[in-house]
Amino acid sequence: MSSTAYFFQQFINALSLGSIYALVTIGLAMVFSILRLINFAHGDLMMIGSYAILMLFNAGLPVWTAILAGVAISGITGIIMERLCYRPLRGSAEMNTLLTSFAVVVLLENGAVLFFGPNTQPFGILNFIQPTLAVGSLLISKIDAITVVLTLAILILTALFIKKTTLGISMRAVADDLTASQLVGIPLNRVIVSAFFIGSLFAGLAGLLWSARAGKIFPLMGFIPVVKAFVAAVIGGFGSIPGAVIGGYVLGFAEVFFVALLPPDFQGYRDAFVFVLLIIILLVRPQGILGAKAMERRI
Amino acid sequence: MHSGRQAGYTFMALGLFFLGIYLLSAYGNHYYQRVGNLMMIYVILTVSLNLSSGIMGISSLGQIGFMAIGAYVAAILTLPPGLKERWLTGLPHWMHSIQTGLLPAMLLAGLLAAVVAFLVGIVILRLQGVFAAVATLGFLIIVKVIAENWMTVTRGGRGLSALPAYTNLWWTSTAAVVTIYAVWRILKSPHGRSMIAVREHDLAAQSVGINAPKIRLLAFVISAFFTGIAGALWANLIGVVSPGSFYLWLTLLIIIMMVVGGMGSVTGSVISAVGFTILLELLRGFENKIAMYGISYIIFAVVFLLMIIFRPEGIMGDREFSWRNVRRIIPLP
Amino acid sequence: MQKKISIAILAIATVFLLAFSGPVGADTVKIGVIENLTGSMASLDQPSLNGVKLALKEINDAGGVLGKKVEIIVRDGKSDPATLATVVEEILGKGVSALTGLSDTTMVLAAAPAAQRMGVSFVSSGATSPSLPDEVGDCLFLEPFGDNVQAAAAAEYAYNDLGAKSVWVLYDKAMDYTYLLQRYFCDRFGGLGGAIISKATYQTGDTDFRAQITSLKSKKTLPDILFISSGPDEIGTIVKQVRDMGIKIPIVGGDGYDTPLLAKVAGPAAATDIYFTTHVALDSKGTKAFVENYNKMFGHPPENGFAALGYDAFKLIVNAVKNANSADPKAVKTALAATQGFKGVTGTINYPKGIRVPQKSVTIIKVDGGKFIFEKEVMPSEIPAP
Repeated sequence: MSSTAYFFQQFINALSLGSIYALVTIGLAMVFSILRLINFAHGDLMMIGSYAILMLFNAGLPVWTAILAGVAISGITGIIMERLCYRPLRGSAEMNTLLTSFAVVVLLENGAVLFFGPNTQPFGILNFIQPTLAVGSLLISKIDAITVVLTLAILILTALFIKKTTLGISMRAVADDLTASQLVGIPLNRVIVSAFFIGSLFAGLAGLLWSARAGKIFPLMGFIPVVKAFVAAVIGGFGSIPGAVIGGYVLGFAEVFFVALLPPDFQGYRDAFVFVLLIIILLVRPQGILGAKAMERRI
Repeated sequence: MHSGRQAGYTFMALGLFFLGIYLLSAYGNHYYQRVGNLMMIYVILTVSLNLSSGIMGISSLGQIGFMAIGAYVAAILTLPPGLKERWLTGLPHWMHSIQTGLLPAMLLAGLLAAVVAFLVGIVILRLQGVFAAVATLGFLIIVKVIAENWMTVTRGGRGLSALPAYTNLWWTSTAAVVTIYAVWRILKSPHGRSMIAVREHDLAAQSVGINAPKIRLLAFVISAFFTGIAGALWANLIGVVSPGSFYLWLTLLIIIMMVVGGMGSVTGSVISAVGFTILLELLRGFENKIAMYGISYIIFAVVFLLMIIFRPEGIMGDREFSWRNVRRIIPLP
Repeated sequence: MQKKISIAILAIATVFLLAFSGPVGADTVKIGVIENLTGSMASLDQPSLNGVKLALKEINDAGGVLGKKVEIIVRDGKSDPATLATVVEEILGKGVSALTGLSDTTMVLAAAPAAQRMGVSFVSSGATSPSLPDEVGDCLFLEPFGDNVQAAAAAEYAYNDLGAKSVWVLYDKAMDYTYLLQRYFCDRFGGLGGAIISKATYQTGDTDFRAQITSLKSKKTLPDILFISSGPDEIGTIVKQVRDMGIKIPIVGGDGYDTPLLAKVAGPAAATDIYFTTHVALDSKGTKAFVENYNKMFGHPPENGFAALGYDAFKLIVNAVKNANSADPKAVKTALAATQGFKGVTGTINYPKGIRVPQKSVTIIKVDGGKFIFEKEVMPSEIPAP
């Protein structure tokens, strides 16, 4: 394998990993921009979506129906979560809502262990898709190709939604100034519920892609992606949706090339490196790469 | 009420407390002793977290990182020399032959945690709110990754085992009393007032001459010191330290104890740490009976959610225990 | 709202009362089972508990031991050392004859010292670090073989039978088991004259191994085999991604591969040309009944090798109770240490004098098109020191 081919192969690896991160991060950022809430339970929506898809598929539904229904269940779970856990807390301290989201994680993950059992389960429902495409000496897994294309399509649709539709414009208005947007009569609850619903749909979809890639699902599968998405969101500028996308890709590339370029003894330090990067960004450019204004006052 | 009389009450209460500790260590079974030890460690952790997060208002998710540092320092110091030489080839040579008792290990553990808190604090405390939370979470993950990878000093994911079981109820209860006393004194001192002032409005506090960054750093470092001590006690209680032991579950547990007790109330932290330790044991007993493993954490999470929705200020808010209030209810001499 | 809260408190109190008013145990032989039924270790320990439950049912159906029924006292360690250290005291307080359970060295090290202090034996059902008995003391017994034995067997098989002269190693840095396995493998493989081209690492819970695999592909000379040291939850994904990236080199590993997940996650096309060491071939004659009964009791075949290990560890203890003709922990310990020729599902257990790691032969399984095929049973000629 030539070094150019090696580089491109790693480039493709990074692109597909970054796409999934981007997809998870959008949902996280959408909710944050409106509510200033970091929803750690976002990753568990991936888990719930994946389990729902698998169970519906095993119950005999056709693949695509199972996928659509499972992603919808993930979206609905997001709405329920908002109604039960986050709405009663609206307006309370940021730290309290953050902790609430941690409690929701404990609730959902232990609930999943109880209901689905703690064991890893194979997730092969997309295995009928041919594994790899060979392009010259490069190998592109079809799931990766689908991931990248799907993510890009969703990004474009989201951008259009935010820019053009009334709901999208309301979302931006609420994110920009909550009080003023209520003054002009924007229905706050509708905007918040929509943000949760859309974000959770994306999480369900990301769950599908993540599980198909790994070939398995397990109750605690949501935690690593959500922590990563969290980093991606900070890199991009918390709350900014284009930023979330860029953050997702930056993180995907950083992770892959960290492992690719460093000697094996240092590979284990990958996550430490990622978080050092995060702290540096927070200090030097807290608004992230794309954030237009400082999100938080510094002393 | 006369302050001399208050001191008298306090000493009597302390006497009763240590009598209880004596009875438990002399006649209690191992299980109750173990729960008692963990309870005292949770009290130390919750009270010291309250200093930095509740009283000072630093949103920290990285507190358990300091506990990990303390635990590893104590583990390395108390590990038998033979094992040290075999496992920890990255240590300087003179350290191989050293094996300390618990007290020096505890103090050095607290000290090193404090030094790290000082260095980390200079950087991270420039951030506030959710961003401080994110950065401190990053710190916690970095500590874990280092513990997992620095094979010649921490033995990686395998952890350090065969640590002497030095920790007993006397150590943990004394350390808990010292921690409570220290944090209480800080809270009632001018420094404590400054901390609250900075938490409530740092610009206003600075305008009256309080050095806000300095006071934040002070709270952070002291809090890390006691947390490091709790780590040392934990290491020599459980007998094995590994990177996964000091991670998100413990972080969450301690934060929840603090929030439910009341952010800013030392009394609340103590009540809540004691109460939650008992509650978790009861819930575990319950889930064993019905053989639905995991239900105890679910109930725990629901209790927390209800609490934060219906009583976000916690059990005590930022009120404190005082003999004067007790006297209103129970007629004391 | 006040009313709501008081109703909630009342409800919780009622549940507690109901929960604690169970019947008091009659005259039984009590054996403690400590497993991580929730948290990160649950996927290994839950099958282990199932194995114990199956063994318990069989023993009690056959009349128990010493004329008494056997009773298990199960506690969940929640994959948390502090909880483990607490629940082990709780179990010990109930007067058990011996303890078993746990699939990870660190977890055993948190739980077992309390048993050691009380002089109660602890049979580690799944942790395979050969130095474990020395780290804890004379009450700790391993039911499976040590990692040094299976790693040496794998190295000799790879070098002699597969004709491999060079290896690329990938291992999980966060687990004791995976670290030790690759270390012993490299010791023995190097000792035979094989070359270790390079090593790469990952962490438990990772789902993307492509960066590591791609760096393997960029090597000028590819190795003859890949030694991938992984737990049961990751191996399927790794194999899938290795094969997806077009690498057809044989893969060698340890008993972490012994799970249907390997073939199911990777898919039959990818799960081919794989060789691993394990305790027993689950389709062989002696184990057929175990697999069938397990399937009958739990509705699915054993999830991984830990099920059979839990089953055997429990029967090993009951066997010792029978040999000791007493349920007294000290007598059981002596009987355990003297175990000779105990035939379990995972092989025959003998404890040579003073050694609490059994001398068991290693089974080598070949995976071809997703099917597990028995290759051979071996005893390595040279075993690296623990």
